[in-house]
Amino acid sequence: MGIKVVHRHGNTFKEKMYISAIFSGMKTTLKHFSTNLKDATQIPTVCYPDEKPTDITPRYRGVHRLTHRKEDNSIACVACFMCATACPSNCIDIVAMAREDGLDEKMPKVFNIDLLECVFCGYCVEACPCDAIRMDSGIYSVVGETREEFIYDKEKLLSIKGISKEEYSLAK
Amino acid sequence: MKILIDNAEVECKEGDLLIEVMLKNALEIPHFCYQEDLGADGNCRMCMVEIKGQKRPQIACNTFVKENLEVSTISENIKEVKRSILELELLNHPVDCAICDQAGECKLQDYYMDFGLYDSHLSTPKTKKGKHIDLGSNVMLDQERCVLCTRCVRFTSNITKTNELGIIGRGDNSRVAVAPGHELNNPYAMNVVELCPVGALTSKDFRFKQRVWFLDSTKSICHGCSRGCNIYIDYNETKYSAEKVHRFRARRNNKINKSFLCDYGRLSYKELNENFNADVSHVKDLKELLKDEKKLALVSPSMSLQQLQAVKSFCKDNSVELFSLPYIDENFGDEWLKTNDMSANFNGVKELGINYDEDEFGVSLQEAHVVINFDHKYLKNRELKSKKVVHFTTSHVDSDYELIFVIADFAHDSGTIINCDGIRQDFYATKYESQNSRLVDILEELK
Ligand code: SF4
Ligand code: SF4
Ligand code: SF4
Ligand code: SF4
Ligand code: FES
Repeated sequence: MGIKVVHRHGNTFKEKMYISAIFSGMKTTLKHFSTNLKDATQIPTVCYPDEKPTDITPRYRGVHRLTHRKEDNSIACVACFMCATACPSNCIDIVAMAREDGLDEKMPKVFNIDLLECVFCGYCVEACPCDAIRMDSGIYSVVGETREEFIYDKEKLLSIKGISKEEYSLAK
Repeated sequence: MKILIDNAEVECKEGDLLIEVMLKNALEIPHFCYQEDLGADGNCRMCMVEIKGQKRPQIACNTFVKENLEVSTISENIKEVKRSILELELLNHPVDCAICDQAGECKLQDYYMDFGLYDSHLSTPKTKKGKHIDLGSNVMLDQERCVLCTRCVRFTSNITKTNELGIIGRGDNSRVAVAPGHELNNPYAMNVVELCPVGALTSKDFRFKQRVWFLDSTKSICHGCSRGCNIYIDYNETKYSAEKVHRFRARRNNKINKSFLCDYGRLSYKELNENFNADVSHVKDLKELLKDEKKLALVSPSMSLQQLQAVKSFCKDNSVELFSLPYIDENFGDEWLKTNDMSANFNGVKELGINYDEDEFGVSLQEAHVVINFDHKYLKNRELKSKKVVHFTTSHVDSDYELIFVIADFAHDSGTIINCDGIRQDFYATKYESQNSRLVDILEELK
């Protein structure tokens, strides 16, 4: 394996004095300070929760949802357990059952995600071969009074709408 | 004699089958149709190897080793051959691993990852065939996933000789099927599920219950009859569900069951999931009962030697008359694996010199005041009027007995049993601690 030697910075006299660095930092701070003082409407800080964020895009990893099939609006998930296998917090609980409608063979009987244990890493979305689980709901805040309220079941996950223009599962 | 496989020397005998030599030495050799106990059929061509001095690649399952044989399984040429064969094999495959129970233990998946990794060249639609066909005897068939290796067909024609399965159609349309109006129906039918190298045959009993990569395996012995077939217990405990045994699989033993199990034994795992839900008694109450004069014990002939020995010394120390009776069912046995003696360790009972005379037992039972039942089925849920009955049980019993102790079953307690042919075999406990104490420990406490 090759070794790359990286030279240490900050060895010159000027750098060791720190003074110039402090001043150049202060310059930036003062520049922003005077801009914001002149026009307060441009400040990017949001006074959450009075003000809601406006920059939530479909790529934002919000609360999960289970998608539907375009053909008949039925559940897209086939209970393959890929998401549960990939999940680092082990917070997806699936129980599979045979699907009888002829469209597929397998579907989940139980599909629970414990949002209190979820770390919102998005691995489940990456792992899904059926585009059945997504985090494009745009929901960034979940409140509840009991732990149970944070366990989202199949019906709940299916009822959540996405904010991307692809509403249905894209799997073929 | 030595031969060279991929430039490494391998010890073997003249005339051995090359694929067997390779499998015995744990060398990688992909194969579908060859199976240790069904033999070679030569139809899948997956086991191609290059042999020095031969112009074309040869199949390892039809090559007999001879002096100075030099074999290559890794040359570019042979890899390309295997890749093409695999592509052909998978041409019409539906690739529905997401809903296939075989995923995780599927040879097609393994071989594709090992040396497939091509993009499909197919430009026409895939040939459609039957899916989730219920063949009977708990076996489900998916014709699209089949690689036509004929293992299942050869099992029913050569081993059970019941000939239910066959291959019909030609070319792309070939498929495994049963004759119209017939079903797969023999007491060993579920073996085809395990023999099938892909997900074409799956078990209705195990279907969709678990993904196999969540399962743990423990080496054990079937306790269904005195044959003592070698098995793996596949079980797990997950964050959201308690420990459960999900299936038994055959563990190959050339001297006993080869790669097979009977369906009765295969499904007997269900007994291990029966929960006991009643209060258990205190050991000191049993000590009290032991003061009585006329005591009799009946021990299950399916207990391990270790358990039998502990029971025997317990009975000797407390002057309890000890019996064991075999579980005989004249209709269970056959000429192959199943035996009429449905106890797992009756030979162990004999070896330890435990009395198994039924008449003597009957006489003693009349006279006894205290009856201790060590998990014997004969006394389970049987009313014994005016007697004090103590149960040591692995499964649920109605709780109107004097004392009940729940003990760990054979999945949670290791031990040794002797099969009908006098072969001594060990079985092991699963990795999860049982909620119930081991019989040996309870008896130790009584000393
Ligand atoms: S986002 Fe990550 S932690 Fe949450 S359920 Fe998906 S895989 Fe698990
Ligand atoms: S959500 Fe996707 S990955 Fe998870 S079980 Fe369903 S199909 Fe499989
Ligand atoms: S069903 Fe399985 S065992 Fe039978 S021929 Fe097809 S792949 Fe082979
Ligand atoms: S033959 Fe006996 S030991 Fe073998 S699997 Fe069947 S019941 Fe179990
Ligand atoms: S294993 Fe040799 S041809 Fe199938």
